[in-house]
Amino acid sequence: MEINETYNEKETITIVKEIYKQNPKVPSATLQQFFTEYSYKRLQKEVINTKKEVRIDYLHHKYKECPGPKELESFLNKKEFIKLLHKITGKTYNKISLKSFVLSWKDYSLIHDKHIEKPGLDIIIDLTESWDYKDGGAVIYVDGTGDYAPVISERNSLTIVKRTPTVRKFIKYINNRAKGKERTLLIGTAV
Amino acid sequence: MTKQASWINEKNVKTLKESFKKAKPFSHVVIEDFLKEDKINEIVTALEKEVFFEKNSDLFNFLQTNDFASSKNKTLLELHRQFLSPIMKELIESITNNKISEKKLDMSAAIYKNTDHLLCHDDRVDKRKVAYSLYLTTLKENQGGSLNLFSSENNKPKKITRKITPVKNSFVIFEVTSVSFHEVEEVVGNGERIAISGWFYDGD
Repeated sequence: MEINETYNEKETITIVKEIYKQNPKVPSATLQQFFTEYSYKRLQKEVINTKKEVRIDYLHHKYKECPGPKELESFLNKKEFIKLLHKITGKTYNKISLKSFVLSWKDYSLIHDKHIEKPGLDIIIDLTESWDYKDGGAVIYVDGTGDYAPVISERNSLTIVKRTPTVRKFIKYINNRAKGKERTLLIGTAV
Repeated sequence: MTKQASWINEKNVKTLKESFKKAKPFSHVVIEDFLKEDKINEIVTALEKEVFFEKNSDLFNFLQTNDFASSKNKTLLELHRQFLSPIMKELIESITNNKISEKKLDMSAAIYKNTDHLLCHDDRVDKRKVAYSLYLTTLKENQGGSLNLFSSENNKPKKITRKITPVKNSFVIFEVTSVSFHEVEEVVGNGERIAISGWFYDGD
């Protein structure tokens, strides 16, 4: 897996670091055009070709999912990527695992008291070619005070979001404007 | 009904009680042609002047008024008072076989437009006992906006087994329990689902 060379440059990391610190309640940053176009396309193809399972728990979620690509998981756990996260967040994360999610019309995930995620650094890789957020489908973080922080990501982006014990996330219901379209996301957590 | 109200059409309580008890997937009943025609039209007109606020969360998207208890509109305040009246209390208690509060009632109006929805939940908050909706518009099945009731297994929603499509002046009530899983299906297209909804509270 190869990433955009700009993320090896000190200047870029300084800017990303500043963005990450902007919302102290829910620190986050989106790294646009994260992979090289070749790596992105390969990743996208692999996820599209992997068989997905329909997951329905009406009180919490409705979507299709499959395990994240092994090659990507191994890349995210390499010291170079861990180092990149450290440069941005100031913290060392040791283990990253993720899953692929495919959402279409009527799919969603909700905040639920019985589904509590362990705190960590969320990683969201957007494999959707184009998406209109009026159709729903945004990953939205809610802090302890009830304020919303939506992740507005684009194709080939990698977003990191610090999730403290009081921060929860959901994926907004995908409405009928998205009929026939699919949203593909890789979502994982670094701990 | 043993007592007659000038604002409600006459009901056969015995039949409604039986329907409520037998209904699947959980106790509910739809009472058609609920209010007198002039009453329902008066409410529709009154709502045209009300302010609707956008409500948006992980679970829903719609427009909603404040509770009618604080409304400055006489018609809406009166409806709130009438729903707390002994006649309404007797009607709801007779149909549902539940004691309901004569003091506490939630009542507001909501508009669902294209893409608006309310996902699956059970309504169990505080001492809500009986949920209700009075429809002010009629929708076709393909326009969405139906009240969908879920069957359950191990106290979890399993499958939609009952769809109630909004019909103007029909009144639906259901008992709030650990398995009263329901949703408002997304409205699709130009139709508008307008309803007055809320809860009767436990009177014990």
